[in-house]
Amino acid sequence: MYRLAHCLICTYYKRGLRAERPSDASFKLPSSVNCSRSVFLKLVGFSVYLPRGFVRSRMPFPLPNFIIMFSSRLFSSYPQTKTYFPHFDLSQGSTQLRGHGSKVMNAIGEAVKNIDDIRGALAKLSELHAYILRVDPVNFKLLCHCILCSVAARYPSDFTPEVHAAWDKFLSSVSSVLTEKYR
Amino acid sequence: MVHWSAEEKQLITGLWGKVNVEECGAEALARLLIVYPWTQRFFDNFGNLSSPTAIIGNPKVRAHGKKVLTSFGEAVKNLENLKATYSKLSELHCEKLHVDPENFRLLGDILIIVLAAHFTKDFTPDCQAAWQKLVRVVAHALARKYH
Repeated sequence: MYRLAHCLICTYYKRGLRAERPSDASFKLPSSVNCSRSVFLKLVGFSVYLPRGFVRSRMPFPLPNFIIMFSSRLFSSYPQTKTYFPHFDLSQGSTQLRGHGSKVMNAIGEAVKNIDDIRGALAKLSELHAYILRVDPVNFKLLCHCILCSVAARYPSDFTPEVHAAWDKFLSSVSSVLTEKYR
Repeated sequence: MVHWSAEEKQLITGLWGKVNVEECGAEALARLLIVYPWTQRFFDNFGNLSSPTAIIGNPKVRAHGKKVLTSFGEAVKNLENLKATYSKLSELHCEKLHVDPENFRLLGDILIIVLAAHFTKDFTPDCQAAWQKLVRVVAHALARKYH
């Protein structure tokens, strides 16, 4: 669990930054998750006060590998999602794919950092998706599913049913925010 | 009729041979009930489903999970004829059990996640793609006789 939490911190913050304690919560725990808020935040990968330098020294696995994992799964299982990237080199590990995957993970990181105001944190991204990108909402579920598969495959013993429920709810909230301005 | 490539068949049957049906079935159903708690509505007579611990330890959940995944094994054995394989089960789920077919999709995706956790790097993107196709086709077959 510690490795999972810190892996996610590594992906969410620039190197050398301290993780911040979240403000008082309004994000509700899934009712099936019977634990305190601090434990929940750990479950979604949000830890409290990492030592400066920890991020630099303890990257459990490279972020690009994770991006390659979930991207490959998305495009293999749901080839229709490739229609949103006609201008991309979609070969595994391509620079464009890594760049875009990083943007996705950074957005998720912002949502974790502002878990009690995901709507505020992703407001601009929500407008981008509604008015410019107009990705069909069904695709967010597909991406979230592939992220969950990648996390499960990478951290099987940490990905307990409770963690699964927390992640599913969290990613679902992010997806809802990104599509709520569509109409 | 669904076409399966030789590679897809190999990815499906090869993995299925290594699946512990009792364990994976129990885990898949438990996760369904935990991650999507509204699915508990179909299991009022299962006793204590009040917490993840209760669900995971519930013997009825384990038994039913094993039953569901055993039935899934029929799909693996009959990839070329899933409609016929699930015809009676489809009627049952519509007429007697009254299950929204959306739940077949949810359980299918949960099964994929359980397989990913059990087989880790062996559950490659290509393997996942073959299994996603299978769970989609099974869900479709189960919904086919709905009216």
